[in-house]
Amino acid sequence: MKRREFIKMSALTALFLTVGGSLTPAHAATSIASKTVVNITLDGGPDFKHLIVPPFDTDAQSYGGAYWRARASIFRTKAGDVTKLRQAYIDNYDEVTFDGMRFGILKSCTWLKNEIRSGNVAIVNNVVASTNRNHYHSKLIMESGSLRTGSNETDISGWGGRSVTELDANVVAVTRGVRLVCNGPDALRGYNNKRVISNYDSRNMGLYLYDTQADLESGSRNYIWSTQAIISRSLRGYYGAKAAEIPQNSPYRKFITQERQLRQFGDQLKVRLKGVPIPAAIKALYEGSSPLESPYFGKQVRNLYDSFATQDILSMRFASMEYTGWDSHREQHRSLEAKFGDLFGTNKGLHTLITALNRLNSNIYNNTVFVISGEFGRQLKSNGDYGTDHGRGNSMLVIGKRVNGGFYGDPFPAEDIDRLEIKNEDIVGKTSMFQVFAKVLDWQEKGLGSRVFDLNNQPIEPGVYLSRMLQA
Amino acid sequence: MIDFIAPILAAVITTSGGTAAMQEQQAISKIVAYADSSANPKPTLQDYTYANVDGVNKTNVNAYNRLVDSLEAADVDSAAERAALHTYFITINPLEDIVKTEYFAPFTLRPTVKYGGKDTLRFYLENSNEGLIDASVNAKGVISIGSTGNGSGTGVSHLRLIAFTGTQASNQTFSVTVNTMNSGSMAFTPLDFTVVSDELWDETAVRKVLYTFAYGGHATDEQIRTWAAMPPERAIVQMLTLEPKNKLLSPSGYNLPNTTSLERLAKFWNKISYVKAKNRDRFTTTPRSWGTPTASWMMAVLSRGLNPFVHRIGLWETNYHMSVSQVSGVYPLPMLSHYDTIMKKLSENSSYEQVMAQGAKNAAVAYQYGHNRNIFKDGVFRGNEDFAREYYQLFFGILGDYDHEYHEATTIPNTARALTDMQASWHPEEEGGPERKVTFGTEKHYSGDVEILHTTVSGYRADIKIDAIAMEAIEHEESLRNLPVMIIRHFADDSPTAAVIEHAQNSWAMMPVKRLLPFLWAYAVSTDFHSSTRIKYASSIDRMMTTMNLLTIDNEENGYMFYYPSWELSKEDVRVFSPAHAVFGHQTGVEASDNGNIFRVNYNRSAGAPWIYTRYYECERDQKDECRKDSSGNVIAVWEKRWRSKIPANAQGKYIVEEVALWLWKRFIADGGKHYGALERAHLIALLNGKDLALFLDKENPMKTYTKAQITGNSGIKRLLNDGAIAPMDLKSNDTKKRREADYRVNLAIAFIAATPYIYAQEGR
Repeated sequence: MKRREFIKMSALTALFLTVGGSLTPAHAATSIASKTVVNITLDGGPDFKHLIVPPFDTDAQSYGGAYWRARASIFRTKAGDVTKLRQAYIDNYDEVTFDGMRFGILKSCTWLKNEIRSGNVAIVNNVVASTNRNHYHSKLIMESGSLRTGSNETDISGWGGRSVTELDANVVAVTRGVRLVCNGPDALRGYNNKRVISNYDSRNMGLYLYDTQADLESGSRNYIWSTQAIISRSLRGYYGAKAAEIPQNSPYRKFITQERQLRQFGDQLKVRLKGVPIPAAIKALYEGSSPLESPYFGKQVRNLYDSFATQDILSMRFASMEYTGWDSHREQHRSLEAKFGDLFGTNKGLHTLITALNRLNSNIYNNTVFVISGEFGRQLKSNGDYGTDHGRGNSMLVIGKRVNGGFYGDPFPAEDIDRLEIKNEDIVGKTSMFQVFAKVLDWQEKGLGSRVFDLNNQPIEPGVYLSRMLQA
Repeated sequence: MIDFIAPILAAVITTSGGTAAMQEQQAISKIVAYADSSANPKPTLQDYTYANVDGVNKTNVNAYNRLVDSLEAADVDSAAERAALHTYFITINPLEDIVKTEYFAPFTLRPTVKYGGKDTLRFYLENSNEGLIDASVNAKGVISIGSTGNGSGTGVSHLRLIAFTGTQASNQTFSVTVNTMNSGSMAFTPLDFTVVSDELWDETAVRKVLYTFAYGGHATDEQIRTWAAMPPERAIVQMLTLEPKNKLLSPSGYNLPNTTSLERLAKFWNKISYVKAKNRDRFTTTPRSWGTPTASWMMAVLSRGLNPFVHRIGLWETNYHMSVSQVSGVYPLPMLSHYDTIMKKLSENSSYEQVMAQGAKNAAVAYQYGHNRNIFKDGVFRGNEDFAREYYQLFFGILGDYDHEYHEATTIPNTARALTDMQASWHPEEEGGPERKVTFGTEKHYSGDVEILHTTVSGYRADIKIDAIAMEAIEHEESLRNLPVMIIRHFADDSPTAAVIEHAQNSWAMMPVKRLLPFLWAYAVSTDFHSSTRIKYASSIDRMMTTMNLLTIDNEENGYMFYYPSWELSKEDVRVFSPAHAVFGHQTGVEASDNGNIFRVNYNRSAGAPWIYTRYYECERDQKDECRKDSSGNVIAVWEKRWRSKIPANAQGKYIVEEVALWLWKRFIADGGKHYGALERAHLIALLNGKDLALFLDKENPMKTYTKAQITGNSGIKRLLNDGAIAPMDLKSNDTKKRREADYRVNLAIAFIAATPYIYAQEGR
């Protein structure tokens, strides 16, 4: 962007922020907040059965009794030590009754507890995507949204990428890399990233270009000999001309697309974000002594906040976040408590983000749904290393103001009581994860879910009505 | 080099006095020093004689040196240990050793380990030359002798496991007599690939192989032409070798240690003078030297005089295939051991299952997965199944598709039992840090047979079972199907066609002993590799290492660590030995190519902070830390980049812009000029003339963009470019200022090339 253009845009933004006093940075940024899906992938097989548990029960034949005995080792307690098991429950969980269900929720997740009580959380149980316990393959299946995806099939589209293609919008990846879920469809190459904006460093998006115009105006000769001036002008000119030369189906085309995207959005974001300071609470999540175990998640929160602040520029309708390290074979309680806390604790990741977004524009949370899931669940019984090994079925969460909170599917099915004690048994998947994703997309646009997913033969647990999960 | 030589010598002087004693002590010091670092002089036959090491003769002295080289100084600094050298050498360790036979057959091995009960003892007897082996076992109660996978234990044509079962209740000693082992040479075979024709095997094809497998290598242009002129099957065995040094691939006047060990190399660079003092601390080897594995690996790749192919393989094995992570708490010394032991197995030309078994036995892997706490006690297994699953999936490519229910209910739980009593413990730094090796116990090991993959494996310790499982897994249908595809996908082909996959699978399957090197040889000269449909996107590591490697001229630059890529990679959020996906491996090329943020960082590296490319001297500094200048006003350099040592002058002994531009493109892009079009040519001509294209063509319009049509169609522009193309470059000028300007312009051009789309991917043709 030329300096004059930049100044002009800055002035316009400044005008937005000051004239009439009615437009805050938030209004300027998100006055057209669109229905948006934020997909948070928890890599490694998150044990949602550790997040929400049945209350301890002395009756070994009850679900609560059998569960706590089967998982005693996670709390370094013996299955027969009823007193300690009860204490473990009391020490680590807050008891909640909601939607006719009494359950415990990890004490580190107080924000989530409050959101559940506020009716903003759908807890969908007994969901399944993959039919195996292989991390890699299961992730491919979950993110592509197809059971037909092979174990090494990576040249494929993801359900997020397909949805924004249908919506004629963009995916914003606030992660280090671009996850498969973001990939758009491409008949020739299997997938493409035309609609994916990588916004991992939201405050530094854009490509460097020496300000030659400033030198020309000031009479400086630096633009002639400056190394940065020479190379940055060379590259800008080269890519500018090259865009017309590289065919659309060339393997090198994606770099032309990235260059254009960065040049197109970089300057606009810079101008817009100049008037939108990073909230201190968000900055604290990733800078210095972050309260999060994963400052990386804190950085994603910053990137997502900025993406919402520039949503109109980015045409964002789907955002991709991630949190890794859920493969809790050992020391599950210690590791998962911290991770769930990062996501769901008061003043932690999502709470801080949503608080800041509400200040930016209260309309955002009203128009945003967070979908939180992992590639598979864990086995019902804990292992001998204070953790759990791979399973298949799991739970997932859908969070948002438009969510009709409650339990979708029985979290503590009676038929599992006998299986809890058996090594290698896992949650029986009764509802396809794809059905849940599809309902979220239907909320974005009627019929979108069935255009993105092939829902034939994708089960829903009897008695579960996912169509009630979201309000229009 | 080692601080214990001095006391030994001092002791000699004060206590021995006599010549013989002096000779003995000097010989001992030499052996100890050689064990410490192979950069020290090799002991001679006479040294071993003086040091009273039995069994050494002129035939096997080199073998003894190899043995000493594989040990630590502390392993040979006592008389007892040196006396044990002979025993060590002729004693087979049934748990893990490979017996090299080229020096000793016929010979008899008398292991110190006893067997009893119904133990099945398994050990490897290997002739590295793929010759015939004829061996017999002499022990009471032996009821069977055989091998796994390939015929019987006697007269097999490929060296394999020998196993025998005893029935005696009490412990028995045994011996193995090796009657004959025929030698042969490790020969190239195309396997199921088709060797590319001599016509297609040209300089570009050679560069593509080097680019893919050796970060571009360090070979001279002349050597590349020589390889291109050779039949591909002959050239490839010279290009890609697993020895610590490859003089053709990486010629050098420097005497570097003859080792693939990053730890030994770190110790060398920690003290050697050409590494500048301020940089030597990067190579400390303390328990908390977190940066050392990365620094050593990068230096190993960039160092002229070693073998960049070996360390390209090392990255695959430790950051992708048998991946462990410092972020997950794997400390530096266990990490180095993980790398070093795997590379040692590879450099010994071990079978691939032995390489993987070695990885599985390493402490780093145990810390990563936590099975160092797995025990079997009081009839109960306590532990986790993490590595029990991933040993199959990640190492061998067995996902359980053969029978998911069986895999989940039988193979994985039983393997978890097999992985019991593998002790490796964390200790604070003052106590030496985390243990670097696993101690394999028997007390808490599940000693019974275990059923895995529909077969039964035995062994009274975990390491024996790990070996046995490897023997089964490598021949498993799923591994045969997936492992070769994993390999070619990683190195060279993001989307192999069905035909390429079939060729790779068939090739792997037809190798009676699976070895990585011959497989890569066959693939690297195949029509599949040199196909125009092949595309491989570069990971951040591959792109940066290749670019920095080709930017490097000599080890002097390495000593300054100008092109140390770690910092640059961290801007792309990539850290070697801390894989992006932990055990599932590091960032792939496809991931990097789809990531606009990585494109941004790399683009801005060239456009906004190009110093890593454009630096062309290191100046002598005064007390104010400012560069000194000579009487002509030129900075006094302690080091200068002189591209004339790499870029060939033309037949007239001159450097011409057009020729330099194309040479640079071919060096850094390795496409033979395929993508060196009108735009690339125009921009490089301008940069080699010291300007950007817009300024070069019209100084009044520095912001103007020129299209291909304008460049090729406008006669005025064409004339200006042609004038620029034939301009001489002062790369060998005696005028310091002119010469430096010329070298700077070359660097400008490289900074440009490093940000073009073509730096991000390689095509087969």
